[in-house]
Amino acid sequence: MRSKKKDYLSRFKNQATYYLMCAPGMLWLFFFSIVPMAGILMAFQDYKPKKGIWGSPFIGWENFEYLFSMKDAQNVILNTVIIAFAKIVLNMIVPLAFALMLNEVRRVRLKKAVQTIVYLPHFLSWVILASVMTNIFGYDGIVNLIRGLFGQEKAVFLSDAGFFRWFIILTDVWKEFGYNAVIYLAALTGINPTLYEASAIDGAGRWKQTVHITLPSLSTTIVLLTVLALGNILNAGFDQVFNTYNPMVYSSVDILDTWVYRIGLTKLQFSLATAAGLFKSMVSFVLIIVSYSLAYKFADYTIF
Amino acid sequence: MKKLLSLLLTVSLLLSLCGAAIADEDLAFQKFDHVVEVHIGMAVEPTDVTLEEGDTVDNNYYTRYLLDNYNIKVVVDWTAATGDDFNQKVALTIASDSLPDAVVVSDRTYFTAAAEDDMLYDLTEVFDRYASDQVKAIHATTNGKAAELVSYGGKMLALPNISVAADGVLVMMMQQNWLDELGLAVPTTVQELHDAAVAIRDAKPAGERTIPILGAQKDSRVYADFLHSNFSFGFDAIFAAMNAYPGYFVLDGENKVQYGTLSAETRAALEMLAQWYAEGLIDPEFATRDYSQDVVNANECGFFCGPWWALGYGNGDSFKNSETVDWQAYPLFTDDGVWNAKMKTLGTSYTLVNCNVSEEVAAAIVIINNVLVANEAVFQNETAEDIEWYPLRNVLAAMDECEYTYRAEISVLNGETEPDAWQNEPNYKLLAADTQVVRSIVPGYKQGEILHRADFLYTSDTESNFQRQYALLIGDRPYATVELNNPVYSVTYTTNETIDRYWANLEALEGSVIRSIITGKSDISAFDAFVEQWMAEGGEKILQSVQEEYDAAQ
Amino acid sequence: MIETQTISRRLFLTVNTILLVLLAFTCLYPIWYTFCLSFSDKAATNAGWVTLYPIGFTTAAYGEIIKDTAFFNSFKISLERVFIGTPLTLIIVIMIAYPLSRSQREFHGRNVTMWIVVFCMLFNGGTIPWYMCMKNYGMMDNMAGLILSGSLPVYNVILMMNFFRNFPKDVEEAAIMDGAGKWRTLFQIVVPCSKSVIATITLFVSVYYWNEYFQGLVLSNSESHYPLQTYIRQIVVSIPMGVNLTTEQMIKMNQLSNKSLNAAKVFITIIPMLAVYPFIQKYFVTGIMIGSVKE
Repeated sequence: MRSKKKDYLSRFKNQATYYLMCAPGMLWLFFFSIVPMAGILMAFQDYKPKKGIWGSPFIGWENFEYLFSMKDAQNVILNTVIIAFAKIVLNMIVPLAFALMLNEVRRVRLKKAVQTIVYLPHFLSWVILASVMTNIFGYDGIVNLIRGLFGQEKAVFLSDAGFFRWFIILTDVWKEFGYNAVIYLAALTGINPTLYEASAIDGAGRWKQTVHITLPSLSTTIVLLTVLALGNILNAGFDQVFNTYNPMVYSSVDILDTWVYRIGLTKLQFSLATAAGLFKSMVSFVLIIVSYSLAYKFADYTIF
Repeated sequence: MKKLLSLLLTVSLLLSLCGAAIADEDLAFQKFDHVVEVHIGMAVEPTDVTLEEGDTVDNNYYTRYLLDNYNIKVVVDWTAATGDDFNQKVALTIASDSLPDAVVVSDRTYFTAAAEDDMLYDLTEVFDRYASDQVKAIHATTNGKAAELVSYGGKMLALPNISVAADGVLVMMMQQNWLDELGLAVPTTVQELHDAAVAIRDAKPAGERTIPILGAQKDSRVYADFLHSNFSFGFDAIFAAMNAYPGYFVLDGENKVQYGTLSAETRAALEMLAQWYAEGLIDPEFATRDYSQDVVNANECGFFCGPWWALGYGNGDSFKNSETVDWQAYPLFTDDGVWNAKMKTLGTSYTLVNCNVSEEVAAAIVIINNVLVANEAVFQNETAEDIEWYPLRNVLAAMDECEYTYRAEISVLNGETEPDAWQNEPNYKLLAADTQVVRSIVPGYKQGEILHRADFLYTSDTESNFQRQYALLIGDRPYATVELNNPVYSVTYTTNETIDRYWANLEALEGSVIRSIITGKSDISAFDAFVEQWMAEGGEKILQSVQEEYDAAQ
Repeated sequence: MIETQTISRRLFLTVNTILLVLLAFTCLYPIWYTFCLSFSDKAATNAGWVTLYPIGFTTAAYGEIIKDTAFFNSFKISLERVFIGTPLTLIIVIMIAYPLSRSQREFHGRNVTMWIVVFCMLFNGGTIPWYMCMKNYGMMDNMAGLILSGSLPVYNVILMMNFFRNFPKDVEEAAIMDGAGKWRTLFQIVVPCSKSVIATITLFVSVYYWNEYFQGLVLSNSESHYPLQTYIRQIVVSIPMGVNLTTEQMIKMNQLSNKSLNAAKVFITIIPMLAVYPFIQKYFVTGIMIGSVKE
């Protein structure tokens, strides 16, 4: 029989161990995330570097009022939502379609080869891809070369604001589809093969099997991933846009993050930039909570 | 202890006596009796290879020169690539109130932000005491504009940059050999330019890659504005020939301040440029190309707009790539034969000095500036190291330096004067060297005739002299020899609080509307919507504030 | 009936295969293209003639790179960043993910800790306060800055945590019965059985360190401290005209574009990724799957 005291002690020891394990990560967060958060105050100040964050005068919501009164800011928020939303949807559908297509391939080596190759872009940085992509879609790039083969005139894609938004969305989907398909491919292998055998005996073709067996089996995964992506609605991809865009296309692809960067670091409007950043964080935070409760309520799934 | 104290007292007394005894000009070039450290931030070219083996950004020909002769030790706290990276660094140091002792910033935004927040050293007295006569004389050539540019709240808070006026006079550069080939006269008006461009488009002298008129590249301005000038590939000459001055604050007939971009003339010019773009006269890659300069270097365009140095200095590779190419510069006139040109402000960079430095360091910074101005020509003969490595390089040139040099050189070429006559003119720092080489670089000169490329001596040894002389004698010929009937100045070349508040947004708006109209992405009606939006989003307040400043100054 | 079905089936398979191969081709092309540029003549590259194969084949660009100490210096910095940063991050992630994978009953601080972690993922003070902190910590121009500045990778913590949650409870309990403490259980029982998720996160973290450029720029006071991607960015990004450069700077810029050389540098930058990821990819199917979806 263990004594109560010893039991208590060992429980205390367990707790202490857990806290100790968390300590390095929490310290890291504290110094590199939490301390810099003092800067959020700047959003409510007329920040003066000389006076610093603790000495600058507070001006309440003025930065936010100005922010939301700017047409530019409204446009930027709209761009962000459109681009992020399109990316979320397409990053769901395209990898799914790809996974289903790849699943049909019976030649194992071909399948492996294709799978390996399509992961590749995921591992390249936008710094590199942006410069390559703008060449490929440039006036002398291969895209125009191919258009030429079909007798079409060379087009100047990169100054076309309408085109550029799709360019941003689709190159992102292209970069990530192979990688995003991983989860579907894994889920596909988890489907019980007897289901297919049974339906084959019933005379169902491949297409019918896909619609009636494969998709329903994946539905939980799909719904879950969609819900999880919700928190990203204002994350339209700084690295990609920042490295790819040009002033000609600001109207359609300038997003919150790039705008904050330019206003803050090239125009020195520190407080305004911070206010915009805070706005983004707030929206993301609310959405994450919503998706957390949705996932918990409908899929009984705790994200974190 | 007592002894030591009295010794110290004597020494300091002696020192102060010495200080009082030294004449002004000696102060300007004094050697400190101990090493004075100056910490700076610096923009560098990531691909520059002119530093000697083993030399570094703060240990090279220039820094050793300053240390040996003046006991000024330059310590480079940080460097970043010219352009965005450097600007970002400056922004961060301002934001965190950690400016180095001195840094040369390239945009007025940084100057005003730092000045507004009391981060800058009041240079009024130090400059007065330590600036050399030469520097003061060059300042004087601006009629007080230089002082005005760097004063904030009545104090001198930066060293101004004064560059030659010719930097801001943007003229048409033309590939004369194409015009000759096609039997075309030099176009002098917008209509003639159009017709010549059509002829080039149809004849395709450079094959499929022929571009009649080259324009702005990606991320670049379509015309100079009141804050930025001195760059190629805008359409300034074309706008000006249609009496349009976009980017400038100009006065209408009733002394009311207007913003040039909003004018009916600008609208008309834009409509025409859009038409030209549609006709294939303007680079199809306008505003998206990575480097417009590549096209000029390959000699694949007929016309582009640029300042004097765009020829020779600017397109050195053109001459390497072709022996027959003959680039020429001409102004573009209105239909009534008037040459209009937007004039730039003095210079656009500012040497900022941190308010926390000691007087000694501030003096050292002024002296560094004196030394550069006095010895720039000497440096170029003594070291292959690029002048950009000079710490705190701040261009100071008399505003008429190019034209003055042009006239001096022509008189030397004509035999009216000898080079010796030009050896002692401190306000024109490269004049002595220029007049000495000009006869050998331009052996084909004939009095009264326009110079062509063939008149120049071009070998790998003479390349740098060739480039400079080509720029001076051909690039600057329009401004030096043709009467500029209507120089147009902006009412202001600086921002005020109102402009600072709204400009970021308005500038972006303007840029995108202008580009999309020219490229036909929007039709001209977008212009009217733009005018309205510009006014509504702060433009009206800006005009009012500039008007008030103007009225107050009158 | 059966006959037609096989024909349509075959047709489908052929079209399917062609499409997949085309897709794979688009993923390879950017690299092939960079390869071609780097082996082409400078003039051809700058003129934009290269699309499908090298034009004017030359290894000149690579000859120039060998002399380029700045490039190799940055390469070295990035390698160091990956090889020191990845194991360090990995250990910290494992250590924090394990307690978080316990229930609130087992670890009383679990929910609070988790919400702090998530909060930190979403909120930040912006670049400027962050920069000031880094400066005060002495994180400029050193490896510590390049490694720590990114803070805890929360996404990877969640992935790892979910993996641990699915770890068979009986195995752990058996270990504890044998008298193993929490530390030993974690590092001797749990970690050795988590190869796939650890391989996956190793890959993610090293890719992050290899590809990161922005902090590299902000935290470096000179080019000699740039990690590779920051270095690459400063050479491939085009400097805008009309930003108030001096005449000499403008002239200089006009003489410097050398796309072949840039392409060669980009290509060398890609190589380590190309060499490593195919070997790790077999793990990440399981790693991601189990980490993302709770069973």
